[in-house]
Amino acid sequence: MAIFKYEMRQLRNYTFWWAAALTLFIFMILPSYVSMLSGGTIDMGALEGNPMFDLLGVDANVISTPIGCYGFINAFLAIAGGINGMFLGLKTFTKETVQKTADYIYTKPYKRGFVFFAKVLSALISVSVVGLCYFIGSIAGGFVVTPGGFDIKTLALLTGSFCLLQIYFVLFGAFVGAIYSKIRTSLLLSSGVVFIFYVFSAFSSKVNNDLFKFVSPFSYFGASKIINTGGYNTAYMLTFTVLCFVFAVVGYMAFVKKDVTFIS
Amino acid sequence: MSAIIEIKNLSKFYGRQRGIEDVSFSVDEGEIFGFIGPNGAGKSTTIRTLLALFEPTGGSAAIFGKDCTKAAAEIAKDVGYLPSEVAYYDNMKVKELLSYTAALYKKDCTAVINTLCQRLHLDQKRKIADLSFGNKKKVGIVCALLHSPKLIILDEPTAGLDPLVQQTFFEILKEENKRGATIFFSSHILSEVQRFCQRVAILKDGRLISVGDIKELTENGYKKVSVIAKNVVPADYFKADNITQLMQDGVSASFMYKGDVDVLFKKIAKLGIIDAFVEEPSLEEIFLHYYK
Repeated sequence: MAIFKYEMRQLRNYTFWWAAALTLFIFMILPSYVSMLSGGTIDMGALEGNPMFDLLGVDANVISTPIGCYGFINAFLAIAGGINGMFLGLKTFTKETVQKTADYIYTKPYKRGFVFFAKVLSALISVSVVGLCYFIGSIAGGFVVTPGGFDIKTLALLTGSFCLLQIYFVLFGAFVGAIYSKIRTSLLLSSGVVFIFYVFSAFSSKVNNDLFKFVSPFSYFGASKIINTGGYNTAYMLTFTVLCFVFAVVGYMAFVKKDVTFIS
Repeated sequence: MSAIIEIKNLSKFYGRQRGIEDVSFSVDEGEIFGFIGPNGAGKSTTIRTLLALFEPTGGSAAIFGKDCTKAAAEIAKDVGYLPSEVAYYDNMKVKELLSYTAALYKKDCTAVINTLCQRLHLDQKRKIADLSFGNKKKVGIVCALLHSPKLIILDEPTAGLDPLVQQTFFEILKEENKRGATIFFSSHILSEVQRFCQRVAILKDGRLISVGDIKELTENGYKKVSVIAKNVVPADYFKADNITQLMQDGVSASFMYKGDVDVLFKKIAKLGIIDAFVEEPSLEEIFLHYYK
């Protein structure tokens, strides 16, 4: 419990500012985008079939609606959420090696598995708090752009995709950090990896290869499909769950067996 | 007396590179045990394997009769460890770190923390990031001792400490030992091992080359002999298998001797001597003998 509490305390300020920034961002940016995309200033008919929207998982018809517009912004913010998630998952393990505090923490009376659990849980709670605040900001933004606000179920599904992507990348980051604990540049690596996943998602949309779409988690949560079907794709969700489980279990197994070294 | 640490044929390889190989020794309850060897001999590897920071490649290591790898968390409750290179969370204050350490042991250690900080002149209000290496070492000492462990493992503990703090530190260790704590003391500084420890293990190139009582090592093993002869000592006069570290300069010669003293004295007497000294060698000289 002490390790978990400490990790949470370390993340307190970071989580607060990140959550505040995203909440304010979505609340303030949503009205501008909705008025721009659905206010008639842009000829949406001319944008139909524009490949850029395909790459983002939205189509021109959907994007002209306020909730579609939210899905469009959400698709971009998911990159930031992914980077945040992977950074937290990665950093929580690499920091002990990079700061040379591994000897301190791993010689205390806790099983390695427990330490892994405490660290991953604290990162997951941090991204969940960010997700919750982002959801609240989205609801509030919805009331500004449309009378009575957004349909709460659709909004929850879209915001949920943001949260799920954060969770996916926390576990992926923890998996990488547990194996390669000597990584000094957690943020740079996280940004690069998440961006590559995002680009691969766009690429798989472009080539329209079903198998490729399973590689990047960004492909699992296309905004238009969520809005049109009112749910997530079962096959993608199954893949998502299996991959999250694999990251957690393999990361755990690597962490409990790994020799603890530090870098000079 | 039961063994607190028991190492049997312990080996640790990093791929093909050897850390330690076939190391066996035990440390008894209440003992102050020295562990010496040059850089790269495998001292830290042995300690890190004992603390389950490394998984052994072969053999076994047990503390309190429990397997070091399988029961690491349980063993750690009663072990205090001071690493050679101390590093803590820079954004914390000393007080916060010590409270966190106590919380990790689920104990209220406030009284011990305050006493130790007072004796070591450690300011608890300072930030870890602002501390010198010596002060970080003091934090390490308090972290290692605050939960009154049954076994204290020290890896190069005096590095960075000034002589006055070293003196206080050894006083504290002696008190801990009187309380019943077993101390495993790894050091380069042989004089402090000789002064402080009862038994010692000597490690070379990852292998254990000697374990013994410090008194026995110094008294019953090699003798340090110095001779001043009436005439120039012939070049190969003292050359023998049981004579090492031979230094000759004209009429004087000094060397380490192991064997029948009577035979040696007869040999020296034949030279016609002005003066001769036979002394117990220091641990440092024994150590050098093993490493030549």
